[in-house]
Amino acid sequence: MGKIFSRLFGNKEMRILMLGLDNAGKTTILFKLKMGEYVTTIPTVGFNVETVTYKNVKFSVWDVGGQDKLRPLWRHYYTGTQALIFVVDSSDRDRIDEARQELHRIISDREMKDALILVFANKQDHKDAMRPQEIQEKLGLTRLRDRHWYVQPACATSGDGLQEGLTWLTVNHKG
Amino acid sequence: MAAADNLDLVLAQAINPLDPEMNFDAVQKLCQQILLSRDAPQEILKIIAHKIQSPQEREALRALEVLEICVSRCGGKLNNEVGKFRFLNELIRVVSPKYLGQRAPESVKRRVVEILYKWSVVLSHETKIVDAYQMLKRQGVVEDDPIHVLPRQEELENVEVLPPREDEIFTDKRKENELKRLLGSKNPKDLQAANRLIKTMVEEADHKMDLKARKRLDLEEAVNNCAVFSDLLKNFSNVGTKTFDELELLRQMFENCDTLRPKLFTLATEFSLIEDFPSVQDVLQQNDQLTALINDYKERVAPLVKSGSSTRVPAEPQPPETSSLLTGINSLSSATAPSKTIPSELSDLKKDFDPLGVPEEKDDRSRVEDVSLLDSQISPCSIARPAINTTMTSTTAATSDALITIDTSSKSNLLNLMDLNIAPLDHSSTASASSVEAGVSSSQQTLEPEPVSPKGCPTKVPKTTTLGQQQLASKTYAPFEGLDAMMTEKILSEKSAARTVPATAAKCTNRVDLAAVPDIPLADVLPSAQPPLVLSCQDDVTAILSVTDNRPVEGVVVVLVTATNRNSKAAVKNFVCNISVRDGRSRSQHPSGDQLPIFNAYLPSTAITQIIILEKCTERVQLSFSISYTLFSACDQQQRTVSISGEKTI
Repeated sequence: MGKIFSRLFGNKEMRILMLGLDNAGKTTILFKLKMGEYVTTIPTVGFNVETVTYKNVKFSVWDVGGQDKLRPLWRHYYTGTQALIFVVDSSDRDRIDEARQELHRIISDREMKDALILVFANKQDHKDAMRPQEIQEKLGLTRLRDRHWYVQPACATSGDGLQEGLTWLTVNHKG
Repeated sequence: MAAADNLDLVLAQAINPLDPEMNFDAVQKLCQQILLSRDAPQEILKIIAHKIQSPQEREALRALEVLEICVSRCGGKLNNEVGKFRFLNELIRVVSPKYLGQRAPESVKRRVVEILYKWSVVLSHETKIVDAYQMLKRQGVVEDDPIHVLPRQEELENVEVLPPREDEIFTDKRKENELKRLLGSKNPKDLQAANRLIKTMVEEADHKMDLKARKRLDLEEAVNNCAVFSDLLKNFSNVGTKTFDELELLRQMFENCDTLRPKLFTLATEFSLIEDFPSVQDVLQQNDQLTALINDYKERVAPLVKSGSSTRVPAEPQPPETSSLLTGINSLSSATAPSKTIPSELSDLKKDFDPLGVPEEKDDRSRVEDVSLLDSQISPCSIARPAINTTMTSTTAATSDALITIDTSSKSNLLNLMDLNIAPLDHSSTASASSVEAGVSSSQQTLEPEPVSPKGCPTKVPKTTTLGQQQLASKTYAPFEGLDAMMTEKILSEKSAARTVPATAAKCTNRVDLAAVPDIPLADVLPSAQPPLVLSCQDDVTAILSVTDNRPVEGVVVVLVTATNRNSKAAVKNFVCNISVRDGRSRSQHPSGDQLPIFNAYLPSTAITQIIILEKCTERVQLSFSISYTLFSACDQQQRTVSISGEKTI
């Protein structure tokens, strides 16, 4: 029965890897998505993984610690990833270039070649936060070819923009 | 319908030709609408198609720009709609001469062709776009592909892709594979294990980094000192007159550098323990250099120093009495306790032991002493220094006896020993000098070093004495020559201890009623000259056992266990220490507490103290201990229980 239903309603599963520099807001986003509430977090050492069902798609979201020394471990999570959520602290202008380097390092990996790229331009509530247009320029996304990407302005504490981000993923996810 | 109205409004804002710049907020809202509303893509394209055909050039161009952004950002449904002839035909109408091509502005037509071409490449899966573009080419509307709209190859390469980063946490391939396996597993337990693995590996790496940075500083200090010494030596010429100051300066530099040698030795061991082999290489190189410098000094400068200022500068070879005395002290402090105690020292010693609740305060002092001890073991020549302060008498000698025993067999203890060795340079040089002096003066009072027969290891003294003489005989330094001697000495003492233990291990004959022994308050503890034993040193939590001179009744020995926490990341809770005697009984008094706060460099550190009374059936008491405590990590709120057990002989 379950199989028939899932075929009828097109239940899909999607493995999502959420990366970004430390203090970008990845864990806050994960818990906001999972529980709908704002939880204060501590820097992640290791990872958190949660499943979130949205619009008939079961997302298993891997939130991996983003501290500098932990970034070499990111590649261990690439296998089977269908979408990358790259979280950027829009108010951190000093490190946007570092974020760009990390992003390109991730998406140039062979195992991430086909992954969708959703960028959460987080912390839009901050004064002087970079707008999505500026972020996509600074992240060098506009120069990418053959990649599906989208910059979604978001505010993890209020939850603004998170659903929209997932919607983009559901719409663009094939399979 | 409200949504549709809203859509119109947002679109109107985005395409408003009166805005000098593109309204990106409006475009963002538009994208949101496209994503969230099922009908939005169709609706929007209908309006945009209309605007593109506007006779107003600016409006048409703005509409095309918004269209391009939306397609590149939203993808999905919008791309499908764009790929339908319903919309493509509207675009073709603008450029086709049959329709609007005659009156549409050139810039708009060029833009339409550019967009169509770009999509035919980027959205090649939308086959109708490719068809439409090919048709325009066939009709001659498009002659050359506007290839400039595609990102150029060199531009693509401009997006620098850095190589994968070097992993400083999972340096061990086996652990890395383990992590990979755990992460790939579907079992939640494996995932938890993966998380734990990462956490412990990160902790380890952090610890290593910390240590490495600290040691690097030490090495730098040595390098700097060496450089100065080498410069001085280079400028020093044998010919011509030498001023006293010049010689004095050189002599001081020599002493400084001389004390560096034991430090370099410990550094090399430490670096090899944390597997930082390039640094080991550096240290060894530095040591070679230092040895060369010292030898050079001895060859060229030392004779001059001796003859030039015999009153202030000591003679290079030591008088034989001093050397034998020295080795006597060495043997006392390195392995076994002297059987005699000097009454005059006791009061001073007591001062040292009194604040046992806060033993860290005393730490610096014992470090200094320890270096002097090591120093004297490694290079006896360096001990023959001027007696700078003759008023520093027996106190220092006695405390240097009460040092922690060197147990090279265990890694943790070795580390502990190394920590103790990092002492300020000038301190150690004066301290070693004064300990010699002290040795002399104390021998004049009561202690006679030669007849001291350390109980339980009668073979030891003569052997070490010969060793010391061998050391003295060697004129020049070989790298780490002292180390070998020290190791041999250690092995010898272990062997002799092993020989003596079975002989003395006999069953207790006259039993003591331990319950009847009155409690001993901490303030009444009389420290013994016997060196304390390190029971455990893990996670920067150290437990030390000191033997006291208290003898409340015959046939018992009173020991004091002191635990300190120097871990700046975790607090200690539920600390329990149990000690039992192999052939007898023991009674533990209540400990001063069972918790130690996180180490804070700015606050005086606290300690747990516990007095334990042991039945002394044999000459040497063989005891087994077990220590357990819980480490509460402050950063991740995790706790870990640690238990350590072992055996010691006192």
